[in-house]
Amino acid sequence: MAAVNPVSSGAVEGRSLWVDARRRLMRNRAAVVAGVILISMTIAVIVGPWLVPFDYDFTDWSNIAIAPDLVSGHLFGTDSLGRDLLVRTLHGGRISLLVGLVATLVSLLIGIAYGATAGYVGGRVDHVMMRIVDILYAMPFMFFVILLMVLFGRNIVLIFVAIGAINWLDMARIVRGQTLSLKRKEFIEAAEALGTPTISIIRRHIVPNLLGVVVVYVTLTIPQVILVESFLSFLGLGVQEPMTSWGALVNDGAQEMESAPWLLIFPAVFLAATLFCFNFIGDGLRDALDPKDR
Amino acid sequence: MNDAAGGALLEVRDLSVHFRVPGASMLGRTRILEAVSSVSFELGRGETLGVVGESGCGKSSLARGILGLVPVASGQVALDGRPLTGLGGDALRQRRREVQMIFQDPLASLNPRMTVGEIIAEPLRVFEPGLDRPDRRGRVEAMMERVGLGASLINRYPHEFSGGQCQRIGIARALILHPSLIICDEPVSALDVSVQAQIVNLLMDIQQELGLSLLFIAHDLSVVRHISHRVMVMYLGRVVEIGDSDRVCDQPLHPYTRALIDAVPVPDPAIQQGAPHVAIVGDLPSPLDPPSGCAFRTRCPLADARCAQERPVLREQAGRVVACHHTDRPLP
Amino acid sequence: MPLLEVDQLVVRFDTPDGEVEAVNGISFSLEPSEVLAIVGESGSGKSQSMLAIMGLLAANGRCSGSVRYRSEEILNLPTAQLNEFRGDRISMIFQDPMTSLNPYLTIAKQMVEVLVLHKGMSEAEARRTALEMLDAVHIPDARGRIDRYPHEFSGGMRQRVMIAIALLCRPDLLIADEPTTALDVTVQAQILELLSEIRREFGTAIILITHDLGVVAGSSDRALVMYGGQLMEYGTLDEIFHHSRHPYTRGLLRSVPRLDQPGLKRLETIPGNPPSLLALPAGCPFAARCEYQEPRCLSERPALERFGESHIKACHRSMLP
Repeated sequence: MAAVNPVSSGAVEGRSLWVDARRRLMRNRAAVVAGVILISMTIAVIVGPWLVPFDYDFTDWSNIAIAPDLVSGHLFGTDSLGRDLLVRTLHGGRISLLVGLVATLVSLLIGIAYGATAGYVGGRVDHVMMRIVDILYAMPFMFFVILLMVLFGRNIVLIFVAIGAINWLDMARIVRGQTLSLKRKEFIEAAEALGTPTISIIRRHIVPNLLGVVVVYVTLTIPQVILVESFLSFLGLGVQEPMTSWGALVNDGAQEMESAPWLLIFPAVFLAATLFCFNFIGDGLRDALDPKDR
Repeated sequence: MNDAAGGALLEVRDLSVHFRVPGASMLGRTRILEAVSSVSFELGRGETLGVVGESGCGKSSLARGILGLVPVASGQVALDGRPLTGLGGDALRQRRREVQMIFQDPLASLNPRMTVGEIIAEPLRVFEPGLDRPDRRGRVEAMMERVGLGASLINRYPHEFSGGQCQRIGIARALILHPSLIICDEPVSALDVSVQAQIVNLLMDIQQELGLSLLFIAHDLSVVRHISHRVMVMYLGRVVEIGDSDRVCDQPLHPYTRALIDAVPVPDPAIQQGAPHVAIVGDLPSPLDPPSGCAFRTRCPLADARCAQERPVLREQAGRVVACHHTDRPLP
Repeated sequence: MPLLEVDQLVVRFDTPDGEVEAVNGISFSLEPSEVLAIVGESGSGKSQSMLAIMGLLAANGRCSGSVRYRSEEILNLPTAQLNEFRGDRISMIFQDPMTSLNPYLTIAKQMVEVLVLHKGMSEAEARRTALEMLDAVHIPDARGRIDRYPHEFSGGMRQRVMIAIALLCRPDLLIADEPTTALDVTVQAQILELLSEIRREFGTAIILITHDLGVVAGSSDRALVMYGGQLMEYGTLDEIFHHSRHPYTRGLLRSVPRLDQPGLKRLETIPGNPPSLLALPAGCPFAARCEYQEPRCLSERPALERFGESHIKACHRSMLP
């Protein structure tokens, strides 16, 4: 059987849709700048605290509540307990970003598994699964968190659990919606006609084709999670002293706003910048993964 | 006419496929759409049966009913002597090795996130998991060559191929388990004219080489005549005529078959602009509310009172089977 | 005087992946009441050339060349001036009537709008004219159906409504872009019959874009074969079907299965795939798949050669009929 003209004989490696998307993303200047900022921020919060000469809980008795000042080495100033704001901001960043990532990861794993299964299996199973989600949605979030606090005390791991436990509901709904529209595609029908078992279909066919939407949603969830954590800290339910997060810092800073504005400004700027960056990247990803091209 | 050797490969008896359609308004009752209504036919080994009909004739639902992709309301399907209907999940899955499918939209039937190699290898992963990687790759490459795709393309993605090449990938995937029957659901309709002929030839070659049976579903009667040994004409979910394709196309017995053949334009102005055409009148009735008796009677020049009361059954006549009360009367 | 004269029409698109030349210099002329079929596969440029004439190109498209309607240049006219022609002197219908009709407006509203805009008719007069036209296209019970919505009509009926709307102002030219491709073959026969009737009754010229050679054979006077954005062959139906001088046309005619011939024979195919418009070769776009290929076919674009009155081909080789 004579071979037809193959596609241009070039590299053997194919050009996957991810590669195409990445190329398009790179052309989006806002997203690239946001990405660079985020990466710098992440490196800063990881490595920074080792470079700053002060510890985050060290009280500098001779420099209580001073404004940013090069002479004393406190580049961001200190708070009312004499603790260096720069290192505390960086430490706070660690916590905030960690919460953002871990909680999102948890909600991602649960949400995808739950949503894809409900969406693909359909029928009564889907119905029951989604009603459970509806009921959980109706539960007041704050009540749940306070309950956890009362039972287990203030614990950083608890924050992850609480937030992750709420966010997976959104993820599950989105994943289910995507699954429903994917289910009708011909390649899914082809997989069924082949005799592929249901679990393999979900794993090999549904989930990889969901990732586009999921990735975009994740970049928009992370800022949301960080904000929730900030809100909890603002209410005094978040991390325990002397550990801190951006939310806690903003809370403290807000109380001293008139006398020591730098205490509010620096952590707020970091927080806002991070949220902006995630949003820009999310937008860029959504454009790059334009479904028109699939 | 190609006779089945040693019993028919596929036997379909009184197969019906129904769909539930929500009521017209909030208070309306759920209606039943009889997509396939009591269809019976046989397909021999190494034979190609073409299935033609227009929108709403049920040919796609027929294919999916046979494969068990949609629930069957009633009737039996037997493959290789053993029943295919009434099988539960895993038992049905196991039989899928023997009957595979090729789809209409070549690109859409391939997972855009998998490489060509992975797509073609999937049936092997499902049914021969013990196969190790080099063996699997070897079989995939061999199959790619056989359908006319260079084996070096194995790591490419579907969107990098043309429509015709995507269909070749689909064919390779359907063939790799060596099934005895392949159901082709409009496999060339979405392809360019110059590519259609390549794929048609490929299917014919493969059929001869491997002794495959093909159920070739299409709306283009010219292509169906070309590739099939026998042809089955459907209208509103029912079978109207089955017979040797040359004979049916040259001397159709059923009024609908004749109207269909008349309507197909032949690429020759001498023929096409010469003879007057008997254009069929009226619109297709709604499949939700088919006419009583013979479904074609609302558009048939021969229809009479009997046609409204009695649904015609398939009878043998002139070397084929046809469902019409008035095959003895000449058509105007 | 010819109704429409197209000279070296070129259509280019600016895409992120580079410049795409969808149409690369086609020329033809159309007499009043003539039916011209433009045949081609995907990527041949047949639809884009007509969209260019109608000023309906996408935002990133540019066209050059000359298109004269009754000796008046209409290519690249500003919208305001183009609107005097569009819908009134030149109309277009498309493949999918469902997306061409506004699903939220009744047929009556859509038809009346055309007449009020172009002919300045009163609503009552427009409605009367619309009903007449619906009758002319054989919509049963036009009076009862004119106030219905598009989704309440079948595919064939919708296409008839499209044709009726296109004919409201009695245009001189109707451009039909694959009008029957999405329809069942029996419905297609009805619509093609309708188009013939319209030509006879109203004297409308028709440009019929299609990929189906059977449709070309039944419904047109002349045919223009396109490939890769260029003109391959142009002539009367007899010249194209029975005395073709171009390898592509011949290949196409040989590879199409015919209902009037017995089956189960291998078809003669054209090897390879239609070209990607991003990577068109320098010479003849068909060269890569052509069995008569010569070295100069790949580098030199063939000039147009004329035979007899109207038969034109673009090929380096001289193909005897």
